[in-house]
Amino acid sequence: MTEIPYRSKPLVQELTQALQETARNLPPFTLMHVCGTHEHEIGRHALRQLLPKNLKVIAGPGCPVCITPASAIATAIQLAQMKPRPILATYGDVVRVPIARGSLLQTKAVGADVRIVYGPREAVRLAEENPDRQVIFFSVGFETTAAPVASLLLADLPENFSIYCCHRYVPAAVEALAADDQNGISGYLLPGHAAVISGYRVYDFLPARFGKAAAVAGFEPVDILAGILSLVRQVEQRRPVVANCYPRAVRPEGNPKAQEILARVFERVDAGWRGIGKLPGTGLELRPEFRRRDALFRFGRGEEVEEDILPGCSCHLIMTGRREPPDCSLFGQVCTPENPRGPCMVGGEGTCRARYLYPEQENV
Amino acid sequence: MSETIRLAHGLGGRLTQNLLDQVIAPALSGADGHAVTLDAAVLADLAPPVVVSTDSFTILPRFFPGGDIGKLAVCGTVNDVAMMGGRPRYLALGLILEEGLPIEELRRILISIGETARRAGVQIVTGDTKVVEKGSADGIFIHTTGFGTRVLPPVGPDQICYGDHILISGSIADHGAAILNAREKLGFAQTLESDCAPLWELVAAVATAAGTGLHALRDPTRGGVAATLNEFARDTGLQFVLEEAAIPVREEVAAFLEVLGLDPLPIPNEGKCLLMVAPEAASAALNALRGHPLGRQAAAIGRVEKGGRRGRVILETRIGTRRVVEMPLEAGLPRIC
Repeated sequence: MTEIPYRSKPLVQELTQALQETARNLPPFTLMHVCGTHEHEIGRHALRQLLPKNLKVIAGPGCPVCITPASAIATAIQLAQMKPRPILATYGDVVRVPIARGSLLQTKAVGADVRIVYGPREAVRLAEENPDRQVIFFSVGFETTAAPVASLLLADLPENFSIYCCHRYVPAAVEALAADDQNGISGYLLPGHAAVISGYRVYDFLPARFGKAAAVAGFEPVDILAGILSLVRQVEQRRPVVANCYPRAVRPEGNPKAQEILARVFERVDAGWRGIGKLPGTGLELRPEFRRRDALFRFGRGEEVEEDILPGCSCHLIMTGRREPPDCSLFGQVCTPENPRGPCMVGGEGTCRARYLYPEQENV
Repeated sequence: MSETIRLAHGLGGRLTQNLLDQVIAPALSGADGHAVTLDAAVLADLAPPVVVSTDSFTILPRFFPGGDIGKLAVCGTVNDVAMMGGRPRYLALGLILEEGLPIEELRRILISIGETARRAGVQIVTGDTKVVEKGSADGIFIHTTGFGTRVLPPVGPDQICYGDHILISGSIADHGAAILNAREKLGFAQTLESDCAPLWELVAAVATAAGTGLHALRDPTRGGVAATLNEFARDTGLQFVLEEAAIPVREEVAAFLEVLGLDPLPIPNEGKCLLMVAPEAASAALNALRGHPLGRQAAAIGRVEKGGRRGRVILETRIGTRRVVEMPLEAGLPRIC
């Protein structure tokens, strides 16, 4: 296999050494990333082993599957159970998300037609292949997945295709997190994928209003370590900025074309994050002119009501950095990837699931 | 003859006879003294200790780059016999056909079964065909049972010692990547091909070279290398340490999995063999593997160490960190963020 420079051992060693030296005289401090892929890659490459002892990197609400409100899952279940039976298409992780009344997977087991797709285009193909059926795409994710959905909605689509949207906008959520001055987070590792769309100037509020360090990072070990090193330097020098540590993909203003398409299709609204509650301006809702594609409007349905968190679950605390997965009484005992009790144990990006799969055992 | 399978093909009358005579028997011919059309077979020359293995096959799509459900149904079972040190000799074949299956498709699958069986050195000695109503099965389900004689010294988890070297007979994750690409029409290059192949010849070559230094063999099918090594770890209490940089993964497979955010370790293989070999026999075993067409890319990928509190699998990453490789939970799904 060809050598990927972003996984170069000498580069990793150099970055690790710089991290250790820069952090040497700092008191214990905590950085937060807000991206499921960051957590996944940190676990997969065991990057926490390389961090200075006084530095903790925790996972914020970065997994789009985890933060999708239980009410949205409940609504999708209702849609899947309509008569005549529609095809409800969504991502693999979404079907397993447990809520009090079950999951989409259980709904499928009792006869609903729930299909796993890899992207919105595949859902459109299902609609083309089944012209006599209604096909509903249950769409979750941040601006990274919302942008392709928006561009699809601007194209010609089969009449039997509609969408149930539960998209969220990252910068507004980071703003809400940072505004909570009790969270004790010194800096934020910002998600490279989402920043490809939104850019990084949009995060200027982090240093300017909250005095927090910020760095956009990619997803290879070298990218992630470079991002963390930038944050540690900002903390050490007490000069917070928004650093771009993913310049090969991210521009200051992001992708204006994608932003324009997003703005044409979606409007920003206040929206719920599972276990966290309503965060202002974080939801992406279809604009009125796209309402005929809105599954809720098409089938005359409203949002279901559902409890976000099952009894005993700490996901809401874990997603805001107030608790670590092993500190939850359900973790690994009652709540496992085979039988998840909360959203963080569900998706590949879920903090609890990642920690369960890649436990940081001593003496590994 | 009709163009698709009808319920009457399974009722034992003239259509059943036609199917047997015109489609099934010709594809599977070549057996001496055995007729696949018989309900039972006497295996007079099968010496003890007899190794038997049974498996069902339901894969979608039925045809994929590098193989089809028929080839898989032979390889899967004969490889399970081989992994116990048994030379596969005979196969019993059960077919469950869904009403409406194109007969041409059945014929292609049977020809593939016949060819693969001949290549694997096994005879199909008895069989059964059932037809179920449309909707009760998905095209075709195949069940095979394989019989062989154990000719190698005992191999298995109880023979594994700390200090053993971990060898793999070639690149990993080929089968799973090819199936995922074909099934989900992900549209990646058609260079993704299943590695589906019968392994007895390869195993026999290694066994000759390594002698009693060959301690355990297993084909890392479902759950891939991650599952197989975790099973070994659970059964032995030992620690299996893999070196990420030494594990052969074809470039196009690595790129495909990278795009989907999938780790190659839990991805299935259908023509690969993991071997635990004593250190003094390791280089002879590796040379024997590389001397066989199915083992050209064979590599030493790790070692067995004394366990801690319990057996486990550790990956030494490319960048020099170490992490636990857990037993995989379910088929990998592409990531969305």
